[in-house]
Amino acid sequence: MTKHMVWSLSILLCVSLSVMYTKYYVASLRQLVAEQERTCTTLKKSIHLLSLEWAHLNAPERLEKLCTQFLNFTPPHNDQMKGHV
Amino acid sequence: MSTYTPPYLLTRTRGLLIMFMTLFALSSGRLLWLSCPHKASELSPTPISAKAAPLFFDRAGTLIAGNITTYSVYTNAKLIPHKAKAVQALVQCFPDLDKQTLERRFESQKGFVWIKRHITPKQRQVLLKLGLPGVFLQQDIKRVYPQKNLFSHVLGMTDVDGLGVCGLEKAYANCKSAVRTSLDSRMQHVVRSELMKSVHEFQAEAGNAILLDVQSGEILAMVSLPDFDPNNPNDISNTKLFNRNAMGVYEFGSVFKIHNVAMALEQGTAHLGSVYDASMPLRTGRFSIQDFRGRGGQLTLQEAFLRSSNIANAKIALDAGITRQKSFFKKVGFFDRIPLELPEMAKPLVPRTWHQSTLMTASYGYGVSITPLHLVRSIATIVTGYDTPLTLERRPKMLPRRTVLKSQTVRNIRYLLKQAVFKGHAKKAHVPGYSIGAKTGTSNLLSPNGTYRKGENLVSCVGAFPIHNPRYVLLVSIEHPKPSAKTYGFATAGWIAAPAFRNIFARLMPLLNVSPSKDSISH
Repeated sequence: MTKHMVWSLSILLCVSLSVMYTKYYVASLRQLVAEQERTCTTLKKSIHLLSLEWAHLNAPERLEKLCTQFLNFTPPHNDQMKGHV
Repeated sequence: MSTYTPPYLLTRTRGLLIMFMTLFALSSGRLLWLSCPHKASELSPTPISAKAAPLFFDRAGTLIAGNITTYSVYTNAKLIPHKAKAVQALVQCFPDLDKQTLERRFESQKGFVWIKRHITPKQRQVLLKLGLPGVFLQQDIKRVYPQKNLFSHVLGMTDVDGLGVCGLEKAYANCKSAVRTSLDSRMQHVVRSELMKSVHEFQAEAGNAILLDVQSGEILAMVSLPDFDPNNPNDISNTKLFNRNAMGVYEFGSVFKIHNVAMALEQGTAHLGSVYDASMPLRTGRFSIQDFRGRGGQLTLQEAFLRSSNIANAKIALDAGITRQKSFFKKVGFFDRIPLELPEMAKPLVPRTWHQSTLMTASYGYGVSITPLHLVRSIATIVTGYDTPLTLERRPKMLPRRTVLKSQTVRNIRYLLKQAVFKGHAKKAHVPGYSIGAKTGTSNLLSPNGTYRKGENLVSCVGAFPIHNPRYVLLVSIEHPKPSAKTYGFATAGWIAAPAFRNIFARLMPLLNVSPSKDSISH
């Protein structure tokens, strides 16, 4: 009986140790995933901010003002349209 | 020799064994349970995202409303040890804060008091360096509109907490994460800039314009002036906030002659060659209907349309009758609110009882008040023959539409609109080389008490392009323009709204990728 008890206890100990190891391994993976998600969120926010800046810089009113001021452009006249693709 | 174990020893041993086995089983079970996947534990926190309003894009995918992460400053007045010092430091950091208001807030001993919302990164850095006890920073979300005034009335705006208060912002407050609108930034800019030029040139009170793609029902541009910058909500007055296209109801005057003639042609009570006597004013009760440009004599239906004769149009309506007129107006949607994504949509004002005087005045655009959106939709229906559901969302596929008018009626109306540009009052709407049909309308503005404002007009021009197979409908309206030497003292649609209409279409043609036609009939 003592032999059986020792074996049972040993198996239980091994199982418990492996479960504990797996648990902490999973926790570390989840932490890694969370870090990656945070990085993604930060990058998405940066991209979104750049999109807003891009939209502001390409606002038609702003472009028209700059084109008139620096390039001497005016809206095209109908006579200048000869055809289209 | 056999060993003798006393019974009590055996019992105790068994008991201890059971106890330790139980403890061990419990520990193992707990370990197993902890290793199973549960909700996010404190070892792997997930970021908590604040609620943000949806992103809006124009039809090309350009962002027209977005969110940026900012910081807002708040305080717990109970935790501030030296209030005077804190007030001084905060006023130095944020010069726009009122010192007395701040002192009052600190004296209130409230647990939570906002000091300033949406500070800049530089201000945040300065505040962190100050290290004031009892003053805290909280991550916040600020709504940003990169094009400023361009889409003000359509998009609307949000309050300081990011909740939509009007426009599409209110309509989509809790619905989607991103909305692709039907609006075209370039066309919106063209329409807005030309409308602003006209409003400024003629010192008008206001103006509005709508550009519609009749085949898909998408609104490509919608402008109401005066407008506002939703990035600065403190500078907005009620006048600027008013969306004339959706909430303003107007009597549009002679533009309604399109509907009157279409009704007569559709119902079969008249044809293009029908003759009407416009030589004498038409009397109804104590009212007398006269023509703006004097007596016309015997006019055909076509002439009555081109000369914009009120007398002849009233007679056309009399021949059709009240029932037919009401039925036609219902067909083109004058009795209901337009189902559009905007939450603020006005209902047309129509008389409860339809007398003969209503029949006659409605024929030339008085007595029935509709919104510009109603007008644009009805014109789209008349020039295509199909019901045109409007939308502010990008709609790549055409929805199935029901036929509303006969093809012969549609052809006749297109012909009349084209003639109006060459021979009628819409000559100044003509864009050389392009096949445009248009009609002008001048009406007196109504005051809130129901009387007409003498000398104050609403001038409008509505038309379609290309008129032989319309793809676009444009409406331009200007409120209370002042006559000038350039218009020879006139403040009518032919002098003011029609040139604005022409200028807008002339600038839109390259964007629509349409080159002038050599075969197009010119002046």
